[in-house]
Amino acid sequence: MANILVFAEQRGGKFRGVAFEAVSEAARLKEALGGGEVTAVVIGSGVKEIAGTLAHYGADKILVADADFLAYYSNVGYAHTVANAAKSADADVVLFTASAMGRTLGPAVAALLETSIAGDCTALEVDGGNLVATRPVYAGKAIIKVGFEGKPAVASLRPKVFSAGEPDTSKSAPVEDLATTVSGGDIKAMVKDIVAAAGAKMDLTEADFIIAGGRGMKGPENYKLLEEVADQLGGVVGASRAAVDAGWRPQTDQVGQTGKTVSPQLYIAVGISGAIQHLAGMSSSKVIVAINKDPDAPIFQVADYGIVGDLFEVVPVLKDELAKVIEK
Amino acid sequence: MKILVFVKQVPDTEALVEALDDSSLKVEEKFEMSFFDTLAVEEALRLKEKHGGTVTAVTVGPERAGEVLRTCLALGADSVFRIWDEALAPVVTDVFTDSLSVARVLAAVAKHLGFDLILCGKQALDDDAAAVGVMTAALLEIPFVTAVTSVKAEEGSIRVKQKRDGAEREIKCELPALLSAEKGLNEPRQPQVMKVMKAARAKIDAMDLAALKIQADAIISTVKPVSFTVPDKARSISIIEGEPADAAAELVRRLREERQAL
Repeated sequence: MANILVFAEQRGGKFRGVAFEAVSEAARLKEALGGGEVTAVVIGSGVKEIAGTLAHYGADKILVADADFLAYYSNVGYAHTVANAAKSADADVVLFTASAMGRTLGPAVAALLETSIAGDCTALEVDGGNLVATRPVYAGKAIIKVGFEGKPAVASLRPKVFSAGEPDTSKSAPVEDLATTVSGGDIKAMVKDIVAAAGAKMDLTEADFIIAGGRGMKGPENYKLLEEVADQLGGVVGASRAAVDAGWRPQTDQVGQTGKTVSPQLYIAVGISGAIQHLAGMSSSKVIVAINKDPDAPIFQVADYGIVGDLFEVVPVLKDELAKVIEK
Repeated sequence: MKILVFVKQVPDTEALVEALDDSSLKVEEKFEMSFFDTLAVEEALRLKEKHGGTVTAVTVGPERAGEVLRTCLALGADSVFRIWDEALAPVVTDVFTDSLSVARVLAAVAKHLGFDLILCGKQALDDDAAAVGVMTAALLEIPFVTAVTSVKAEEGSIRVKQKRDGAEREIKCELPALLSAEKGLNEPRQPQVMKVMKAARAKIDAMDLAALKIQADAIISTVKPVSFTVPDKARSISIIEGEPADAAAELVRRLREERQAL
């Protein structure tokens, strides 16, 4: 038996896909731990209407903190609210998503609950009745499994690695108000201004399809080629550290240990050699394709499919071939 | 402004990692300061140069970890402290760090030394846990902003920028506070040779748990390693040959038919 508390991240009154992944994983864990209760926590402004959806993914109870001052993430607003919910639910396990917000919120909540956290996990399992979490370390060169002592066990889940269950719309769960012990006046780090980046697009960590370019792209002007392919497939363009450090692409596009960690359905690496720090950011992708003119490039070691050739010849024809199947 | 910078010594990204058996890992002894921490040190020095004050670098680790403090001295830190105690050995090993224990130590150091601002890297490039900084701030009950790309000091507060979800946010944060550094915050300087030589001879002050009045029961690992493995990441690649047009067509066909990826 286990009480599992799961933080369901929303943005602008809409749940992010990672929220359904986390709630689904909580429901799976509940079964593996021999039953119990999954309590989902939703925090934001104007979020009460959407909260019930979480029942479709396995939440038995949904707690909602809904207030104007909770529209944006704040440490006091969010961390204390989740920590209090974990205490009142007598949680054995507390789950977050290892998104940008979850990686800030998770450790803060863990500290308030006087425990450590297993962050950015790629698997959770139950072994002999105990929760065991798997996470990559040393840029993915090693995998560590950790166990938890004391209560609760706190972990965050790498986005897009855990699958969301098929929603069962016949399910419902009680939605209750979650009291916050703080008010807007307690917030000491306040968002003053938000400037949408030019051409704001989907975050790399949320994309199902990524085509990333490296040094082999030769210059910023050539990324148009990749943008076209990404648009075709409803995906986004990523970049290697070399391309970012050269100033060809913004830092927010960087895939790798000092950039973003991504796990799309399909990752196409174009003109990327595959340095260890790049592999750390993309090796959990479902399918990896490498296009590189150097047959000895390390990227081919981790790819499922490879084309050895000049990207400036291959990518345009790949775009044409994709257009054919997408039209169908 | 009194600035503390938390730094960590980590294996070089290229260091070799081997699994000795199921429960232990061997990491090649090639160390450096964690990349994001170098940005935190640089930002601390820039704030000091602009607004005055002091920069104190702190690390938790055995004697070898003091090397990163020498680097901080060479770069211009006013003082450095290495925290170590036999009681920390089980929770800060060569291959594992318990975040909460280290956060408790750093929170005690911060209280002991006093501060207006704490800077650290957004995550350490060994375990990528991204937990110690946030936990320390939570324990100190001070505001914190993670992954900042710009820092501007104002009277009694600080203005930072953070890129998130395709937008850039400007956040005003009251002091004292903790900020963690994201790539793009600055370009770290290189130390001058003379200063490196001087730092090499400097005595690195060490503090133990008693000096910080930390109770032994605060140092306990609630997350513990069960096993280590070195994965074989290699996938069995299919190299698709032929003229570019043929190879592209074949790739698309196989992505659809074999992997349902399109």
